[in-house]
Amino acid sequence: MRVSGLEVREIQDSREISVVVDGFRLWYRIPLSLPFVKSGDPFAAVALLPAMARGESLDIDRDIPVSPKLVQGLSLLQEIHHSWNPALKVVPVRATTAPATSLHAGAMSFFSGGVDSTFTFLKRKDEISHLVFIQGFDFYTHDGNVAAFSVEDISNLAQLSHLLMKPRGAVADFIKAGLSERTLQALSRFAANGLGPEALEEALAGDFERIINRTSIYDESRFSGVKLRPETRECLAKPAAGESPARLNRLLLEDAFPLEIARRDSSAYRTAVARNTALASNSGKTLIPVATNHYPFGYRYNLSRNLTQGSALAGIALLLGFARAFVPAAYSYSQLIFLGSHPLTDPLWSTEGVRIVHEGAEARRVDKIVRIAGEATALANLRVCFDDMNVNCGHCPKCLRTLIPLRLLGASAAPFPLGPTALALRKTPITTEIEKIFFLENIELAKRTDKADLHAALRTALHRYERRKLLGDLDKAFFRGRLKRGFRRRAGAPPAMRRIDTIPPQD
Amino acid sequence: MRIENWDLREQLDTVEVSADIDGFRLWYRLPKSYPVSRAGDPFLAAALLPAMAKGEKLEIDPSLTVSPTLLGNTAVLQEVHHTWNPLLKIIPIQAKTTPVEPINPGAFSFFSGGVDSMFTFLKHQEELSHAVFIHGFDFFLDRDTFRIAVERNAAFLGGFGKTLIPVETNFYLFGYNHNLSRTLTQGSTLASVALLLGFPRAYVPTSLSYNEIFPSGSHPVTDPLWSNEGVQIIHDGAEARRVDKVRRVTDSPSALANLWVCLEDMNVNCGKCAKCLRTMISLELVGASAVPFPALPTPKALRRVNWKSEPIYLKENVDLALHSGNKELRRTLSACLRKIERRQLLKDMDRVLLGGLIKRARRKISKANPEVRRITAAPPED
Repeated sequence: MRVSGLEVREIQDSREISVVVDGFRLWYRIPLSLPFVKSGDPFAAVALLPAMARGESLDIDRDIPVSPKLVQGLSLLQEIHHSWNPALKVVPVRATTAPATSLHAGAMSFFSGGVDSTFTFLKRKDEISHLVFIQGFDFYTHDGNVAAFSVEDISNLAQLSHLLMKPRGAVADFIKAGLSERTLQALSRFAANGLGPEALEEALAGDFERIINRTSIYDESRFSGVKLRPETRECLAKPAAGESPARLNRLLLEDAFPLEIARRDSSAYRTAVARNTALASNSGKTLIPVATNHYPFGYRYNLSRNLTQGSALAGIALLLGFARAFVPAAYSYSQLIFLGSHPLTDPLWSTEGVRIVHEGAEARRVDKIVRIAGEATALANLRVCFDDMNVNCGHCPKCLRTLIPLRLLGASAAPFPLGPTALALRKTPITTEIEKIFFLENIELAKRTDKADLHAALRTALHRYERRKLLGDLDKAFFRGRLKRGFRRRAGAPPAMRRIDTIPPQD
Repeated sequence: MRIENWDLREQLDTVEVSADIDGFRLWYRLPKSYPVSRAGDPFLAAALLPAMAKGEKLEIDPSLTVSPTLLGNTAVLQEVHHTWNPLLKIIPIQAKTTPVEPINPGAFSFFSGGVDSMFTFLKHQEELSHAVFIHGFDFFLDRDTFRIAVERNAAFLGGFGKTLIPVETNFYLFGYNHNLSRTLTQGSTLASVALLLGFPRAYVPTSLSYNEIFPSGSHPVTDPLWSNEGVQIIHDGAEARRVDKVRRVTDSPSALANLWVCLEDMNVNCGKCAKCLRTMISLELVGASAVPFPALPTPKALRRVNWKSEPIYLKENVDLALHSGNKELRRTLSACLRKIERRQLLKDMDRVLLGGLIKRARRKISKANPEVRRITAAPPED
């Protein structure tokens, strides 16, 4: 895998720094006023896991040297990741080296406005001079002419190719039927062994552009299984005479492939930047918004965001060059789950100039929420939702695990809807061991705060999960998973798309 | 808790460094030919966990300064240990600081002759100048037994042009005085010896690979935090599983001949304890000959072994059996593994469906005295 062609250009009020990795131009946009580290460090960090997933050597262009300390770190990082998941191979890294220096004496912290980053911000307020807010890691949108469909509109190539290889549903069938022979060939090649992502991206973008510009793709029965957002329905109801069908078709495709095709909407990002800037400047800190197309980059290699989280953040820290960069931890030391951001791995992305610090693992999520609940401004700014950058929906698992402790603590001004009643909470599905961790924390808090109804409701939900898990374990131990496979067959559920994660699949 | 009355005393060919910690005289004895650290660092490392267990402030006599790096790191070490086990309290430390420098040139690795330390030794043999063999951390033996082990290991290392440093300590008693388990104190004890010797680099061979780590006194997150300006402590070998290490050891006939893993005897592998068995099975599976072990028990006998504490190693050996195509051992070990899994399932069923009724009833019926529970890195699960 080759990293080459460093380019720096100005786009409106931001500076774009980019390189080509394996035919993909990976870019970062930072405010014009900010200096940046012109080296191979940020790109070596983000390209390591894709190279390991492909089992290919990582070659960094000679023009952009890499810090010798980072090179050493990369070799340890490879040992750790390979031990966690042998699907990630240990690969040679070839680069010229030059020690890095820092550009700012101060400290930055990554900041999304969620529980972990708000906690770190409050805890390290005295040391932190800048907060870094990223667009393009958790959420990804892409702006541009609606009639044009570019490579950058594909947000998850691995998943899109999976859906098109085995189409389930009328829309995917329809799209597949409209693909050119060249695209179909690129699709089978990529689906078979992950080869030729750039050829597939270009072919797909060309076909999609043709499809959206032809005639309306809407057909009631074709889109019957797709949840259309209000904007799409409005556009359907009032077709403007003589207007090209591109806008409507794009909205329809975005709704049909919400994870795979990027939305044309960056207003949410702008709102979030404005909100977080206000919070930062209230405390005399500066918010640095950084936009990137890392999201589609990781998915090009089918890497889960759990896996790439640490390296994606490290890449930005190394680009900005603050002497210290805090990476807020999601789990405490006692809950260490093998994740891309881990106390063992995060510091290994450091260079001579930038020390990356995994921060806040001494506190559990519930401890952090207790701390935030006592700080009105930080609490009012809290945004944790999986589904929306600016509004906490109150239903998704992340909203639930946050609003429950806030309710237990009686934090009245919390920016959340009321949330489910105790009775409804009993039925909350817990689906992963990770979710169970947060339930256990909240059960403990409910006990401590004497909220008997919530305590009972949470315990009921937990018991249901434990009984189900037990059943799964029994199936595994006595029937080698036959029951599970039988259920899946009966439900006719499609085999899920498996991303490459920190650890191999457990079943 | 107070560290005071530091003392250095020469006795024949050894030197003894000691200090009083809360009235207990903790000592280390090593060959006179090595200069030792005169800082408080080794004793700070040894006393931190006991002080946390007692929830007491740790004071170090001002005549004994400690490294500012180590002192800074103890804040993180305390956070980690307190999060793992809240019984270990965060405590203030009062000490005067002075940066330290390396004392002895070279690099060493801790060495017992077991699989982990043999692997680390072979891996880093180019860089290593010394190996340190400790007596008094795990258990106390009669001195003759220790002397024989020292001679054996010194001869082995001599073959590679390396020097063995035997170190004796009474840490064993010190840790148990505070009811701390050895798995909890392992990292800090080794660190205290490394800080005393002051080699610029000290390797701590690990027993668990990165994908098997759990809260434990020697851990890739905590071990490096015991370093100071003069000594870098390195948790080594976590990239390899035990079976990978056994395979590596078999590449060196002299290492294989010197391999000693037994829980029961310091000089002979009994061939019956769990540690001997897990090693013998891997050796059989990689087709090693001339192994310093008795013959492997029959499959029938292997099925009767109590593998309760061995699921990780058992799984690794099942994998290895699968790769090496040894159907008989694979079947035998898989059956043992399934037995452990089923027993665990029964326990889970009791816990989830009956709220632990059966467990309590069994305890009552057997009238077993509750065991002495030592403080471990993580709280007990039940």
